[in-house]
Amino acid sequence: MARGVGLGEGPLNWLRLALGEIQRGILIYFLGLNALYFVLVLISIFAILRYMRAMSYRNLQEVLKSKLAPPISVIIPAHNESAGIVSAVKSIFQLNYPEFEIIVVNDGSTDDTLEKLVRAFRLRKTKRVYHKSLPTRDVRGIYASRMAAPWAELVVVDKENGGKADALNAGVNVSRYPLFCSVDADSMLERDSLLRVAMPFMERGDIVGVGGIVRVANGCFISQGVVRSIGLPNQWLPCFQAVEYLRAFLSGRIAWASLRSLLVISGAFSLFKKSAVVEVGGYDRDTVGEDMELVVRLRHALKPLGKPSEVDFVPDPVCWTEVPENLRTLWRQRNRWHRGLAQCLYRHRGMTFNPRYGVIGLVAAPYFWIAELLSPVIEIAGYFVFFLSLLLGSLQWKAFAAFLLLSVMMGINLSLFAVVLEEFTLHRYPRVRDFLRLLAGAVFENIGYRQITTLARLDGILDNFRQQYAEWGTIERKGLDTAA
Amino acid sequence: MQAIEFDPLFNISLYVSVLLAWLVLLITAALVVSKITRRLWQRYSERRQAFYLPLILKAVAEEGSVELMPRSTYRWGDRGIVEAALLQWTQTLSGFGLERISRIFEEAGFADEEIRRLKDWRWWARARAAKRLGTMNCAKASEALIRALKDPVIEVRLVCAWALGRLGRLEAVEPMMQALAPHSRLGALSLTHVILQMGPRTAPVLERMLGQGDPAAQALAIRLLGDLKDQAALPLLLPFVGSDSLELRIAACRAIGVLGQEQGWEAMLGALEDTAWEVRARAAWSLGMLKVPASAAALAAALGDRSWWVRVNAGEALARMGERGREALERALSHQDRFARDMAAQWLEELALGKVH
Repeated sequence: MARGVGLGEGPLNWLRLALGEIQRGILIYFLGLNALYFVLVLISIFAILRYMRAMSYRNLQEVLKSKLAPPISVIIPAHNESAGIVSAVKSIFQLNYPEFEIIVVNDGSTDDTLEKLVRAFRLRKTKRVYHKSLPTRDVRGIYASRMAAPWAELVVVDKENGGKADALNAGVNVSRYPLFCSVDADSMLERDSLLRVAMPFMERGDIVGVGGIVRVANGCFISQGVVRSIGLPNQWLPCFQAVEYLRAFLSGRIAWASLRSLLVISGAFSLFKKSAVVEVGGYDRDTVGEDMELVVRLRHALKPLGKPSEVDFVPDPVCWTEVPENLRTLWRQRNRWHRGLAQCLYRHRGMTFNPRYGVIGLVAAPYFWIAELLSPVIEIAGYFVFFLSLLLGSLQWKAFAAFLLLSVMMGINLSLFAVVLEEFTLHRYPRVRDFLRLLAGAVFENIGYRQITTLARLDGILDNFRQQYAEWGTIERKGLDTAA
Repeated sequence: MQAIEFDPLFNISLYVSVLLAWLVLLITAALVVSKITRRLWQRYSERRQAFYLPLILKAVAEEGSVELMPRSTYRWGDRGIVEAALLQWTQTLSGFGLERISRIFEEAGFADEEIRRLKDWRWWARARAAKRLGTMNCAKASEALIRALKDPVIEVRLVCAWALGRLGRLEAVEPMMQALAPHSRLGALSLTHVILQMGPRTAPVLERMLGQGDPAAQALAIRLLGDLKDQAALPLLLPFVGSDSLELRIAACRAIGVLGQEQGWEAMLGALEDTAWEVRARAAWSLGMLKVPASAAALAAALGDRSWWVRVNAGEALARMGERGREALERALSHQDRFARDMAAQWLEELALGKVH
């Protein structure tokens, strides 16, 4: 028997009854989500404190000088990146790491990306053997630099257009080293990023992938591929995204990683064990969320075989990336991310509620279905149901207030916890002005901004029923180099 | 319009929302207060450090005659501030200055405090104590640091090994190897750094360790003997090329290559036939380091190996070998295997461009 609405006669009353029950369901969903998020936040606090303490006793200089540090191939897939590709490559060369090579994969660019690389690094076509361990579109040529070290470690693969996943697979095929790091051409790594992200591979033998934190570069002063000063953007849209990134990385991923159930690491900056990736067939060329799909597939394929399949997250190797500054680009980005999530979860649905996958199957995968994928559906349904109830005259204002307050307060609290973690551990925004903006962003992103991204995500789910193809996720960029 | 009944769920949701709102206020206030407090403490400690700096300098210059923390000016928190100042100063000193400041550290009782902290229940306090003792080159802490190598937390063991390395204690080498080598690559890496800093005098200890202990410790000892260029170790390393353990075979092949003694080449030719591709690849690499012309034919054959990495390393080894290697690569251009031909072409090109060293 429904408790919210009195029972009357006729279809309208049944509708009111149903709406009342849906309102209850939505409230239960939000209460449950709140509880779950707080558990994750608590886990994150402990995990990040443990990590920061451990790192304060690690000697990065030792690793830097060591011949035992595993060499890394840094792969930069590039499609029409003419504006920033040269500075992106130069910035990678400034990384602190004992041994690494850089592989740029020009994925059939229609602009002068390749020509710019050839000119800037004096490239020549080589006879380097293309070891096709993963299927890719045809490679037109492999180029190496005529310049002396360290530029000699640059390899450029020119290939037919096949999408980001295809480009990454080509990079893996050309790579010489046991680990490879995928980096977006529009992102920039901090100098010690590779050192830090490689640490889990040196500490544990069961690791196949590691992700680092991605932060918002808008608002930072960047020159010659190096972040000279850190700051928050002046516009509110990228500022909200800065808070959102902190929340996603500091309270979500750390918690899942410490539960050994992480299912997603950012494609903008991730390090993988090459042999494991080759074993599962490389990046999937038919999905828009190739980064998450690879992580889930590694888990899905390797765990039942008893092979190493752990994926870790480390919170301090920073990758700076430019985020959208207008709503249209933001909408497209979020739509694409959510489409990728939906495709990935559907493709690997066999893991969900499957006890063979332990915590991943019983907790993490259902969480991604219920709390990540379906949350825009439920939130928007909530607004719709309350609106319909208002029209039918059966709106329970207390329920409506509870729904609004719960969803907004939950968001604010989660963002504030992320700011707390940031302030007490990583402390990348030391200026008081930035600190106050972070606080304000944590509060105000929940009023308006979050609802817009929720709609974009819902649109992404609907798009999955309309179209399914892999594409390059491009956003309108001004370029990272603010000094230029 | 229907009558609306009381629903406890809505009330609970409202209470939770109000609770969350309070939490928002609380967190915001806590953040602001902590930010202000930290800034104020930072300024205060900078001022106090500036006050103590002349006293520390005087204590370094005039042995035994200066009271570091006079009772008349002592304030709560000063002990931590002075210790931090000493630790900070140490990083810029060496030789006599370091010796003096280290003695001041001990005389002020900081060393004993830190040695006691090596048994603290919090692992980070133990690690911090070991780091401070190492930074201050505190010789009296050697025994305690060696004991702390058995700490259950790897971070503490890593810092203890680092501190003992700074102290240069030879008797600590074996316990360090046992404490860290089996743990992870990071442990081995850290240990390598420590032992290479201690230098060739560690070689006899490492040679002794070849005959005993954990395979991971043995593999690291083999590797280190190569890195230390301990020429006397070659006869001890050769038997490991035929070991049952894959890890030991790879380590031995690498160490023989690094040592660069021609006597090792026959063993490497044998390893080129190993069942494991990792060993064959490492043997090919080592033959490139040894540069024995007689191994050119075997390396040319390895260009057609079923493993990609063996082919790559064989090609590079031939390219490194000089004239005989170049001839072998040119002959391989007509190899029956396409992969061998491609690999030969790639390395001939690298040679022509002067990219092989």
